[in-house]
Amino acid sequence: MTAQRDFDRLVATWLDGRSALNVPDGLLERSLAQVEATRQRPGWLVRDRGRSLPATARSAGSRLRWAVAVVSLVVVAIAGGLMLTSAPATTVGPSNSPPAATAAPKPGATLGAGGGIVFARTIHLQVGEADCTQLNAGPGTGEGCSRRWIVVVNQDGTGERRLFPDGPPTQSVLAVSPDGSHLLASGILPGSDFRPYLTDVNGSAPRLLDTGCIAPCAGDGGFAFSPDGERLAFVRGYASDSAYPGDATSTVVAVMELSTGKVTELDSTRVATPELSLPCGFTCGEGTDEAPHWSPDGRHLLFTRYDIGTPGQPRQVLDTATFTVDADGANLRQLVATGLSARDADWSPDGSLVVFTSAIVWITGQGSDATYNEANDIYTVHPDGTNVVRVTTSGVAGIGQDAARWTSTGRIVYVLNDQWTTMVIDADGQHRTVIDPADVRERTAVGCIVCSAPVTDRRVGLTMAYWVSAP
Amino acid sequence: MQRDLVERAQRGDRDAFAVIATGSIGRLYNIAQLMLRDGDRADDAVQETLVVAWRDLKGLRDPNGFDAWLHRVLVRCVYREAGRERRRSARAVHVPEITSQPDASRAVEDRDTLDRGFRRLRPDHRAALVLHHYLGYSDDDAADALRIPSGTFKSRLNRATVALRAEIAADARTTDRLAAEVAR
Repeated sequence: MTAQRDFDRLVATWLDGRSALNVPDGLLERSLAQVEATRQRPGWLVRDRGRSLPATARSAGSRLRWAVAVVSLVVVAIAGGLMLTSAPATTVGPSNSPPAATAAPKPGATLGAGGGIVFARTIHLQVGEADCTQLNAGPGTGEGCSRRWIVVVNQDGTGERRLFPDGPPTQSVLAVSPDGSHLLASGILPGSDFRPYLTDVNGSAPRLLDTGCIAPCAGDGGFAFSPDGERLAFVRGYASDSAYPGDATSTVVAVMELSTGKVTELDSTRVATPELSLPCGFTCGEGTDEAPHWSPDGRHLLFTRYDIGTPGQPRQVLDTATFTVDADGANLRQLVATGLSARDADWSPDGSLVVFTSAIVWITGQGSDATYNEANDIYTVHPDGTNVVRVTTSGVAGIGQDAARWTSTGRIVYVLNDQWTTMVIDADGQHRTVIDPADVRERTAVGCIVCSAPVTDRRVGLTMAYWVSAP
Repeated sequence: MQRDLVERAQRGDRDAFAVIATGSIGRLYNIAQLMLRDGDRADDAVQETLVVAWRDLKGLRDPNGFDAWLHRVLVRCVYREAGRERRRSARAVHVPEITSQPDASRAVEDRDTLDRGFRRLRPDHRAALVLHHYLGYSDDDAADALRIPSGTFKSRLNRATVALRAEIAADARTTDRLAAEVAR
């Protein structure tokens, strides 16, 4: 035993001595140059799972819960809407996932008859404030804590209160049903592992939305309710090794029937994601699909495909393009030319136009001298790809990501690259005005159903805000 | 690692990530070099680690856990790099079977002996030793970094230790034999 301890100590000492190595010249610069040309993947696709969750099998109990959920949903659907509040089940859809947490949070808000606005509010705390404690933090270190809660306010912006006050401070609104009666949220239950939950706008009776994502499925994300509220579109990621979802091997757009839990993957949209490692480098992938949006008639979907490569042709920047596809997967078509690098597209309320952000990226210089450049502007186009119109001319100092959305009155809301300044503009580029994104009342006064707003470096940030109605 | 920087990088701030990378790259390179025993391959693994870390950073749930997460990414990239090397060389590395464990502490007085022995280990054995002895990870944390059960890590660490002692003992026998031949 003593010899073993001596040996361990020798190994540890030797390893410490071997670690005083100089980092090769240029390694940092080369790495950061490659980072410049790399787009971040959405969190849902690459969610770090930390320690493994306990394995779960489909039990008789979970099948029963599923059956009860389906029956409940069918009944309420027949009754005329997606009324989930009275359903006794805790899971919506096939129960392949771990069971939902048993301790549902107490709802913290009751919406009046007039409805209100729901969004996620981020609060940045300094070390020492509230429950924010960190070791080795000192003045000026910039350390602190972020807390994010889903909140609801009255229609006039007053009376802000948390929807899940007893839930963890990691809450996000994923989507809101078109009638404003229900929302899809994550991070609302302790230990819920960021799975999506359906709940009403009072936050009562959250139910796990089980999309049946089991290995090799790596995750589902980018949820969007259909206009009739009966379906959810999302993107599903697959990984060759589910323990490393970041190594996603493919994505596919999928549609879930909420009344039955049936998920249909639209095979025409399935693409192989690019592999960072050699020998492919950035060239082998077909792309990564994200963020589907329904057409107002519920017949078509828009989605963005990032990271489009060309096998055998190494390059520094991959392409981005927007596609349309029928809700059953037929008639996949690229909306506009690849050169426009169209992303984040959204249908106008009457379905006659599509707004998208053109984000053209290029790199000048090489190696450590490489400079990343990006020019963003907003365009509109007819759904058939004709009549492309440039709405803004902001260029390099232009539009932030995930930003352009239609208001209910047919105007366009977008956020500038400073992640804070929020603009409203007519579809023809006229009458551009700045609105204060911190003022929920002002943001919603422009007529947004879904208004985009940034999470910021400021102490208080907002995310997407939605009109909701009392159940 | 400053949580604020990690959160900014998660929101797409490349400058914040550059600060993180600058502060982390030395440690990453050391770990990769120890695990791979090859400067060029460690260089590749670290570069890939930083790119993957940037690409997947939004998937990190707790910014306070950034360092552990980054090490998981690094281990993954090191394994991939080691796998590429194995495919290139098509050469299996065998851990010698031993039935007893001679006291090797005297043999490792020569650091080169330990270095040679470590170099001959399998990459997963080197990774276990580095995580345990260099990073000071607990069994649970090391198992988490390697994505294996804790019990598997314990047995792997044990096998790695046995293998290293065997390599050192074999090296010492070789040295003694050479010395004897020289003396003759």
